[in-house]
Amino acid sequence: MIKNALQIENCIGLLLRTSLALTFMVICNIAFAQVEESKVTKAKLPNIVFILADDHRWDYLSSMGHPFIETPNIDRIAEEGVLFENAFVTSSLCSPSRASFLTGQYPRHHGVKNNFTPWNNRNVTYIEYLKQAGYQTAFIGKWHMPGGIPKLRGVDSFVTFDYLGGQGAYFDTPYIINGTKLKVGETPLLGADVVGYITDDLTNFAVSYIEENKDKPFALYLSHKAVHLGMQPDAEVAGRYDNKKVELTKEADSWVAFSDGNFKHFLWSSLEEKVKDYAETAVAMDQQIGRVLDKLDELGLAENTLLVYAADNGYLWGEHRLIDKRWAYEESIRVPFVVRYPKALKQPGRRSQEMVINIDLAPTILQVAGIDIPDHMQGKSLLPILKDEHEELRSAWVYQYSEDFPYPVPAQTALRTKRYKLIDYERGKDDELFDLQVDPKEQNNLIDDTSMTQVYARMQEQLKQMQEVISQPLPAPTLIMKE
Amino acid sequence: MNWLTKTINPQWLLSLSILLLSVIMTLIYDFGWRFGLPVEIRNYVGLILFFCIMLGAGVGYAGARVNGAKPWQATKIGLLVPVLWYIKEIWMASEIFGLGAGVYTGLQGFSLAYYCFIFLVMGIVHLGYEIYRKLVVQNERNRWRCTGYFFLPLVLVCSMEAIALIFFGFELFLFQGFLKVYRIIFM
Repeated sequence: MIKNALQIENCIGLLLRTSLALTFMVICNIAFAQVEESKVTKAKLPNIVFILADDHRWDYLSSMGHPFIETPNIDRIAEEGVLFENAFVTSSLCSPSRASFLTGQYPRHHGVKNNFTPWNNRNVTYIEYLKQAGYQTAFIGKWHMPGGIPKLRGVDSFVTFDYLGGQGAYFDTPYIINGTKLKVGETPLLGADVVGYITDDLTNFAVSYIEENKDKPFALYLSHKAVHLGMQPDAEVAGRYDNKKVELTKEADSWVAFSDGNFKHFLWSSLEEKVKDYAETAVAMDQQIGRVLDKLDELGLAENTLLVYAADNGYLWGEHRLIDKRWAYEESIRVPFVVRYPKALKQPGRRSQEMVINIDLAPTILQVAGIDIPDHMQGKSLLPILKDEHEELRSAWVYQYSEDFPYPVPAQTALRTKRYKLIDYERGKDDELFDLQVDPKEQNNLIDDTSMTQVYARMQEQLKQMQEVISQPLPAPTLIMKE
Repeated sequence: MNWLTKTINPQWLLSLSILLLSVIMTLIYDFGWRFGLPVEIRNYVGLILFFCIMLGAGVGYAGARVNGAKPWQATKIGLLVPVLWYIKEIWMASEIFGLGAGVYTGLQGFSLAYYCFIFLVMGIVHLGYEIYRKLVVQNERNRWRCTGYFFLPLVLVCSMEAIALIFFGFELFLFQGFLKVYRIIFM
């Protein structure tokens, strides 16, 4: 009896111990599996690389048929991705456009309306969302917004410069890393060389950053000074196009940069010579973009990396007898916009005619990263277009330029549809209406053309309506990290 | 020609001719492309216009002096083209920024530097003319003593700029100071 009782007791003990051991194993397994799953999820997060040029207009690419410029690396992104031939900025000026790329908002909402109105650091950038989602993040390059260099939330490595009012110089710019000012020649990132030419330096920092973070999901914002004034290429490229013949548009001449208000842009040479400098500076930048592409290939990251190349605005080279950007004319508002994302892309090498605007960048990046697009972003994600060539994005959008004293350009609002453009000047110039299908160079103002009365009225009404829509107060961002 | 010299004071003739030339060159330069004028010609026209704006004051000054104007009167005559060009620039800016801000654009470093340059040009012409009178027309009284005032604008502007830079740490007329004052007044 006693023996039986002991046996039963032993059996129960054995059962209990076995159950405990099994339970422990199951718990361990579940926990381990969760850790593994989390690791996988993180590993699967795509890397994000956004490269922003300054003043690079849409048709100064060999892939856009430019007569002599050579941009094989940007072309390569296009061949392996999608080239958006109708990409624009909502305000053609450095500071407002940069803020729009970062926030996905029109200037009236992020507040950087011109080169006076400061960046409000309560603005939430797409980088902040990525950081929250577990990304390593870096902002490398030109910040150039009024109000000084902020403590940008969500950015782990903030390498920039405030030299020459934030413009930086092509040679020997001193850099700033996370608020600490360095001397000329000092590197902000260990292992990255400072060679003195800004495009090469910024690329060195970017490449070093990619290498350092190759095993983690990272988001890199690489913002070049090139190809902004004074358009200086490096020694290797300088003079490459000296013997090329530059064909100016019919209304321009060699000295148009000296006429009227144009002289305020310091183009102290003939227009043809300056165009060559511009093209050479773009080539020097393209070569460095090639280094970023090579590094992604070398580390096996290309497949899982969303890569976007764009510019903050275009540039007028004598069209309408104007220099610079700001105006709502095509050469000023239209930018290169190339996206490569091998993992989700349908038909690489495709050219999309959909109208993309700079505020689309942030929603696109967030959607690719699997983050819900917040309501305070006004742009649209391009991911559906990347996945499906037939997807339609928008039929019209609004351009706004606020006065930027003392540059002699009137404040203006424009409605750009796929066919027409209406430019409404606040003062100082008569409004303009163009049929871009028959007049892509915008030479014939149809505003007084009686056959266009209905189109004009319809465009006016649509502009008014769309202005109301984009001016509506936006919901406050739910995410604001600590500085 | 006889009618011209009777109607117009000969002291003003060269300055007015430069003005007329500037107007014609402006019209050709700005609108010639609409009528198919080759770019090569427009380039030459642009150069002539540029020299009218930059050196016209010196030519006008010389014309006035040769025709008997005193330095002060010749300076006024020489300033004809620069002042009208300046008014045109201000008028264009006023259309965009409003009258107050438009007039204020006339105080930007570019405009001030332009006037410093114009006075320098007239100063050089003045000096050349006085040397000519000293050497060729030997019984003339020497007027070299008023040469200095042509350099006054340059000295004045540079001094103000230097003082602002040294004592207040920002430049005055080009961007920082100029825009700061603009913000205070107009924004």
